[in-house]
Amino acid sequence: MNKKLSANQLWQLVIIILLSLFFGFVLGIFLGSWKGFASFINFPVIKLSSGAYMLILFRYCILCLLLYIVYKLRIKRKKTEEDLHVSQELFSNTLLNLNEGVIVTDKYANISFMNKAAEQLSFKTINESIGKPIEFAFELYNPITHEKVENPVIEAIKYNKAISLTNHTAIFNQDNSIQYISDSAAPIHNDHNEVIAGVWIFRDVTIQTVNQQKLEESERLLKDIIDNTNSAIYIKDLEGRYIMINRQLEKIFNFSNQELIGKDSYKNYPEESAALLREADKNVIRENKLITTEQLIQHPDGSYHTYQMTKFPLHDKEGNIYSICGVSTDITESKKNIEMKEKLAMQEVLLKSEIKYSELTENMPNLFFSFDKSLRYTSVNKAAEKFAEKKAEDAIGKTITEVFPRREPQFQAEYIEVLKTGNAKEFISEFNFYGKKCAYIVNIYPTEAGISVLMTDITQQRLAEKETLELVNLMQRKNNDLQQFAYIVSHNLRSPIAKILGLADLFDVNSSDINSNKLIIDLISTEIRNLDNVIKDMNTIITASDSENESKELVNFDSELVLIKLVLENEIKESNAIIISDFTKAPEIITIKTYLYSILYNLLSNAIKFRQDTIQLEINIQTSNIENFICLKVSDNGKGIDTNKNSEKVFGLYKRFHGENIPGKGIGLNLVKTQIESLGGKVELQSKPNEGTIFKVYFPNNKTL
Amino acid sequence: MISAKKVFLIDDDKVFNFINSKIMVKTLASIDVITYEFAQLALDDLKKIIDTNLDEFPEYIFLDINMPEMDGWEFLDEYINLPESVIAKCKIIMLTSSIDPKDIEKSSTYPIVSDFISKPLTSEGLLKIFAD
Repeated sequence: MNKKLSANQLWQLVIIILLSLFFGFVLGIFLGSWKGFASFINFPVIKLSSGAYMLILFRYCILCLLLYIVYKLRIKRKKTEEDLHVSQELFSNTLLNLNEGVIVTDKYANISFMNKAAEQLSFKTINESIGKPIEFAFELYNPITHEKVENPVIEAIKYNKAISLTNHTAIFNQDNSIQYISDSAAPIHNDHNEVIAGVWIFRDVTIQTVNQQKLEESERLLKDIIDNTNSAIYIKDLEGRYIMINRQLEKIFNFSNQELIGKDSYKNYPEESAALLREADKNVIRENKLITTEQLIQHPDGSYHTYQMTKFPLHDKEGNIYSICGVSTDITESKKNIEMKEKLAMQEVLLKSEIKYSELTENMPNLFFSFDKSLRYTSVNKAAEKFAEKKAEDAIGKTITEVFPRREPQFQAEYIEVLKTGNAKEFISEFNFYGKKCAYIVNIYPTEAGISVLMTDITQQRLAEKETLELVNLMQRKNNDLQQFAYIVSHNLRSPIAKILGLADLFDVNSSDINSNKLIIDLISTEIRNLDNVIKDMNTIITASDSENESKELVNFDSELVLIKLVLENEIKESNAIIISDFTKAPEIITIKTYLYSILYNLLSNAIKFRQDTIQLEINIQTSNIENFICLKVSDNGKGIDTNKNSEKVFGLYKRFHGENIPGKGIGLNLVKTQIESLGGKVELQSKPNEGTIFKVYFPNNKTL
Repeated sequence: MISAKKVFLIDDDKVFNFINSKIMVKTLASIDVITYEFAQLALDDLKKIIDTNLDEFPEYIFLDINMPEMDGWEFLDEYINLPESVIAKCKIIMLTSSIDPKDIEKSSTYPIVSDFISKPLTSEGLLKIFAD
């Protein structure tokens, strides 16, 4: 269609009107006057005669008819032109207002039309663009390579085919920002299918493209994150089949994605771990919430890993669980690290406490020392250094024997026992340390390196305890003695009384047997004398027990012996006893003189009394210093006493071991014991029947009065 | 008529032996009292009797506790080793001049001891013993 057609038609119409006006004008002149012409113009207002009017009307009608014929001749063409114009108007209006950009070109791809959208996109107006090549309005670029590309309309015209581009094309704005367009191009042809023009339709898809790009990018990012994380990420359906897995999980299984998707997720794990995982998934479904657990899982390769597993249900639109998503992070290493850190922290604490501990042990009053496993000293505290009078550095690394060469190694058996059993041991030990009497509570502990020994001094307590114990024993002994004394005295008092009673019973006034009665009277008087003697003895014993009032003095053993020999002169003579004395080692003693006299007298007279008739009696008397005592030893070769049988009784009151033919009341040895004990000493007896007796009397050696 | 009793009297005190045997004879007309001053000698005789003539074994032994060498308890310790059938027929009566409760207590540990009496013996006491 020719666009210029309407303009031509317009011109033709104008010419027709001018011609008809010209004809009217000629007619008017022909009619005769300007008035006539004016009346021709103002036809309706001129008042004419009906004949003139009819004439004029007739003429005008002829004119109009003429004009109509002329018009009619043109009308058909005009109609076609008008139709074309309308459709053209309609088309250009529609095109103009389309959202898509539309550019129409001639067959040389020069712009012949562009709509508003195209104007806006190109920042060019239609006026300045018409007739210009399409590149004037739009330069197109590959959105990725940013290379210039040909406008598709050119190709469409060239190859006479519609081109729809899938790849987005970019255009650069004036500010150099990219705009993305989606476009297509098509040729326009005439009835003979010849290309006469081209049309390029395009749309701004920048927002969509950018969004798409962003979406793709975030998807890629997400995939990257999911694939590159150390955690295993997966989605399973409710039957435990994998729907999605990430690369980490592939690595764990050493299978590819394709091999795992849709497969049972548990079957690749060892049985125990599979059960754990199955249970964890069930929990998530049951609880319908996110659950985080820490589990030790055995990998298909058999290695153990600690996982922190976070699992949560995925819901469909209706809110039903359709799958489980899990993120499992292998925390084996980090756990190890944490454990290592904790261990290090613990070691530090231990080290600190070790330092405190060693300060404590170093300065405490208890003896503290340690040995390694071969019982060599590893540490010795100050108290132990002081006690042993050795330097720690001289002891460390050495054995007990090396440190204390002159001693039997102490507690060695106990140390070895603790080393062997690993059980601590506690005991109390009293020992002599280079002449020093000690009592210690000994604690032996096993240590990592060997053993440690803690010794607590209880020497003083022990001594006090011992003293108390001795005191208690002494009291008990004295009390026993006293009780014994009471019974024996009662026996010895009762014995003569009983005899007197019996004799009195036998005495018969009416008896003719004078001799019998005389005997009874004699016996009665003997018993009364005995009774008197017992009472005298009691006096002696009671006096002997009471030593407080006696004063001590320096007594010479030899001079006392001389006195006693004088007193026992008859007995010595009768027994023909040989008495050998030796007081050179301890000639004198500070003591109670009467006690020493009594003791020596009793021992000597006993030795003479209990001699063996068949053997020459020999008595040895000597003194010696023993510790804090002076020991008076009196030995004989007499009858002796079976000490196994009688040891307790020897010193008992009124105890006699030999029959009636030997005089004695069984009081002498009891006196010896009572007197020496009241002096703070003791008496010992060694004897064998028919061999002899040795008495050792220990006098406390008082250095001063 | 009370049959003649065979009695051993063991006491280191001669006077007690004299008194006690006299009282026994006085109380019972037919009595055969043998006195010992040493318990060991009495024990030796008892062993001899077992070996020779069992009829001579005493029916009663009066035993003093306090004696030198072998005392009453030591005698008992040896005595219970004699054949049971023999000693079953014999009664042991402990004699003491003491009133020591320990002695009474100790005698209860010897089931063989049938009586415990204080010296001196009396006719009443003897009759009571012999009547059993």
